[in-house]
Amino acid sequence: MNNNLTLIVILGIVVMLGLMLGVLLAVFFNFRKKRQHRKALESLKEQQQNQLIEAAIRSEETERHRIAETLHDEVGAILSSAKLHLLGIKQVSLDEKDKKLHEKGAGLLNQVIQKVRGISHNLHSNILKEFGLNEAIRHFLQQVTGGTMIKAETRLDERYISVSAETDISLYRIIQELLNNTLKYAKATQIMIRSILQEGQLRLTITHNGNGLSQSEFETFSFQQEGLGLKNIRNRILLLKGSILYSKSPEESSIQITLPVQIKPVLDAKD
Amino acid sequence: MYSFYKKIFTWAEVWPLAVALIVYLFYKQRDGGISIIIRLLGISLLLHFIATYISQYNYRVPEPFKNNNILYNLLMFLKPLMIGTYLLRLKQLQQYKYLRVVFFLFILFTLFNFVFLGSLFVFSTYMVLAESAVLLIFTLTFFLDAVIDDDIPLPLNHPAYYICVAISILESINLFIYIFLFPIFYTNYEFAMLAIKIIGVAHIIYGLTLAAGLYANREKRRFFQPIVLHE
Repeated sequence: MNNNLTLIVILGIVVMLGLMLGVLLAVFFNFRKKRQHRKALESLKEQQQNQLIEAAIRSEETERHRIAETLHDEVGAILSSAKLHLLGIKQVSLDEKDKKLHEKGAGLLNQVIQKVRGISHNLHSNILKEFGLNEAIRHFLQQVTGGTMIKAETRLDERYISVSAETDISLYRIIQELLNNTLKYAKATQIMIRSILQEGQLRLTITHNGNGLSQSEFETFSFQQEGLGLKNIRNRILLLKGSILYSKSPEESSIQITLPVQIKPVLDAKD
Repeated sequence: MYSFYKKIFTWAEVWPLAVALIVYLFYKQRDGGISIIIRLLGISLLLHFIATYISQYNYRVPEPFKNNNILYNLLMFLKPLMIGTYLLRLKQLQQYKYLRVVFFLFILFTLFNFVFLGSLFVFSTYMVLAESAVLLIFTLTFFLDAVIDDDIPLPLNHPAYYICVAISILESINLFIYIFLFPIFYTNYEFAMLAIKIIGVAHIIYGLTLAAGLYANREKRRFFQPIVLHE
């Protein structure tokens, strides 16, 4: 009786504690499993989101190419033909007034042809494919600031090599959008584009003396429906697994883009 | 040294609760629902202190107050009542209607027990059983809900986990000891003394786990806040 009672108590405690321990372990492992499952789900969601952004960007790029080709091959050809016809008019038979009108018309037509060619090149990014990102940035900056009072300068790291055509196009489009915004909204008169490769990262900085955005303004505008350009920038940065940082001070504003890239190996002089 | 250890075990039902309350005094709590547990801690500390004092210094206590069973009976009623209320207020346990039935039946049983089965001045084994059963049903339901729920209902540092762990350990150990404590005293005195020490250990685990829960649930310090220098 004595021993039985002791045994019952001991067994009771052991069984109850064992059961409780089992339940606690089940809760703990179940939590770990749920957390892992949630992480996997989040990663899948992110992957799907990236795929969607990629598809949207790709279709936008295809559309840009289509418009560029139409402008260049069809509109450009018609305009050139119109110019040819206009130049075909014998000026001898025209009086002074008509001569002036003819000259004016020819001048305007030339301007339109130049504009169409410019738009077509911008949309098509041929220069990017042929000469690389640095040259394309320099060319675009020259194009948008050339013939104006804007002072533009570039200091680009030549060690940069293209990771992929898509990355370069995305980066180029981001720069295009940022420069357009800088000229249109910030009213900058001095622009400097710098790039530097450091620790497997490309850091591209646009500095200007205009009234730029702060990081919080960028976040706000890029989530608004009207901010399509900024939204595109955000999506492209997200896809490139990079980051963008806006900063402003009374003297100058800057936009810094950082993304992971490859660095071209420096060749030995003996080679 | 032996005397120190002896005191630790003698007052094992008191000082761990005091530690938990000190943690509460030092740290403001995040979860507002915890206030009922704080009240339970305060009442338990007071009742356990008086009960331990009566048992240890029985010769100093006037004759009408020498019986501390009423205090334990009161605690056996209050603990399921207050912890049950706390757990029933949790969103994820509100779907289990049987918990309300169990809670209601426990109150009825307590009344029935002290009116018909036994006196308030006699340690009630039935109340031990009822208290443990109710608390174990509540804590097991809480844990099983955490397992079967597809989502993570509460973060692991939520005080409800600490409270349920503390309660389930205390009840798992104490249930069989309290049921057979008096028969063991008459048949195996040495084991009975060991069992009392085990009860002490269970109370230490209980109090310190609650203290850890209150610490995990802290929002900010009440005193000695770090000074933040503004520019």
